[in-house]
Amino acid sequence: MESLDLTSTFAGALGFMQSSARFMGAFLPGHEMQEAQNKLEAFRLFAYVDRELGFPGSRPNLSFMVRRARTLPPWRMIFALEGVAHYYASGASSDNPLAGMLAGPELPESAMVAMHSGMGTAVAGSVLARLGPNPSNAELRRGIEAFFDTCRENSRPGWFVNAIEAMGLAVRTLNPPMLMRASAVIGEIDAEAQRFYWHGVGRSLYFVPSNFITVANSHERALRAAIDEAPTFEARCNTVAGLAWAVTLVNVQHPAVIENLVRVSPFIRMPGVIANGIISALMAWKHMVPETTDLAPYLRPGSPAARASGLWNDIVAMPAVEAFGRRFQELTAPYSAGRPTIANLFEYQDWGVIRK
Amino acid sequence: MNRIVTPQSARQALDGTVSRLVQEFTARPLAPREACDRGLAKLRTARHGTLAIIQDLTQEESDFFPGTLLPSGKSWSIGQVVQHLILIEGFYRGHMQNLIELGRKGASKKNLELTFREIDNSIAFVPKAVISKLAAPLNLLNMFIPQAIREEIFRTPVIPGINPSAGEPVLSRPIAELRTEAEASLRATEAMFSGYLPPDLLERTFSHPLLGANNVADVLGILAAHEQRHHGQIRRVFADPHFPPRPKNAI
Repeated sequence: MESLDLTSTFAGALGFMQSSARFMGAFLPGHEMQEAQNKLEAFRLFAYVDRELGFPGSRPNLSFMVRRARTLPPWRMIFALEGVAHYYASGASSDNPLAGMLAGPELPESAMVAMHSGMGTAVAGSVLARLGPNPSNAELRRGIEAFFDTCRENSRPGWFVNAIEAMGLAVRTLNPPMLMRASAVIGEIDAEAQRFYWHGVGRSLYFVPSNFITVANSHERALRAAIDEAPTFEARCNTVAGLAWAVTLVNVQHPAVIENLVRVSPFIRMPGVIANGIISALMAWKHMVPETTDLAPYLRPGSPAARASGLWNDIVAMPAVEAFGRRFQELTAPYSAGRPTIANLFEYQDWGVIRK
Repeated sequence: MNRIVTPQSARQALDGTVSRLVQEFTARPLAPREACDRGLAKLRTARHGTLAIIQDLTQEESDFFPGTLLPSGKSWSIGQVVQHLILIEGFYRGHMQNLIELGRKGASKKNLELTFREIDNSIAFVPKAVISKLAAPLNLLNMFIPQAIREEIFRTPVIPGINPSAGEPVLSRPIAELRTEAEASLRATEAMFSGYLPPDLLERTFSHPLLGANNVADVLGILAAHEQRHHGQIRRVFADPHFPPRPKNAI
């Protein structure tokens, strides 16, 4: 007896949810329905990129898929590019392994943020699927080392950390009871990688089912989860920054959503971390879409009449002007070993730009 | 070891379960080799867990019968649990081999229907004679159960099951032999997948009213989940107050 086509059924359900959010958004005030649409569309573009771009059945050529994705409008393009890399890397097997997937110069540099994330997510998902729900520490270590090796072999020079960050996202999404053990094992292998891991955990917190619905104080809920789940101050900084990053990139065209995040954030008392997550995401956006005009609202002070305009100035406008005036150029300069790149935005860094 | 359930761990567990379901709905179909490699890796992890548990087991410990009974009314020693795992793996290996051979021959029939005559398992408190009458509604129900949920049902003893006759252990066997056989059985399953795998292998399934329609990769996942479920049973035997006293290196 045939099983139902769950993939098509779920795609239909996602489409229905998007339509509902669009319909309700016409009547309800506030940012929530717009945010719901953005989140669903970002997820749909990532998860169903093959349908969206009409790929042929077998494993198509990566350059062809990237060209197709780049025909989309910028916001849709970046999630489709992440989906393309995920789709391509998910087709790998021991018969047909990944070989320098993003290492060569053929693909455009502006696609690298999204594509390293997509590739890292696919490789991490494959490693976790092999490990099963409760591997021994030795098996977990072998799996994570294999993940690092695959990411290293397939990343462009300077972009490795962008790819490995996705392990945090994959573990928090697919096997959250293993969150602490995976962190400990990664810390044993590479302390720097642990910071990226928690940044990935933070990104996932924006999408996990318990935070997916955008009503009922969803930003507070997600921030609280970021604080509760991270075990150390450093992990907490990265988790909160990762969460702010995800909120910003998904809603970059709707500053009201980011304004809400800023407005509710004081209860965690980490303004510098929220600023880092938001500004890092804006810089990544600028790198992916150099011609963008969407950044203007983030670079000017908030209207004095607006709610929380002081917070907006402190956490967004002033740090953004500072970051784009100096730091962005440094990060986008030609790569040389040991110099930070855009990929280093995938961890929290104390830029010291928040007014005391 | 009992886990303490907190609101945070409950939320995480729910997130994980729903996310795995969503992943199943959205994931790109895997190539047969990759799907089988993933299934084998899960089985390997589960088997290594079993071997670690029985590593230092004495014959007396292996043969100890706990006071608590299984839902089926039977009580199994650790040695019998290990026997059961080896028997079940061997039983399903035969069916998996059959599917691979049919694929290699290019047989047109894609699904092999198995009935309660071939696999006479059941759910606790439902006699085998009764469950066999429920084949049609169970087949229908199984169409709606995603693989992630199916594996979870096998992994967590929420729904107690009754083993098929093919997995019935004898009273006692030397634990050293069981260790060797548990390793050899895994190697035999791995060897089965080392050769050519037909490209349509994952479209080939065998279906059973209680187990649903499963391809070889699904079966490997179910075998791993089933083995992990029995790890819990073994831990309960260790925790029995009458279990022979042993050094601190117990699980």
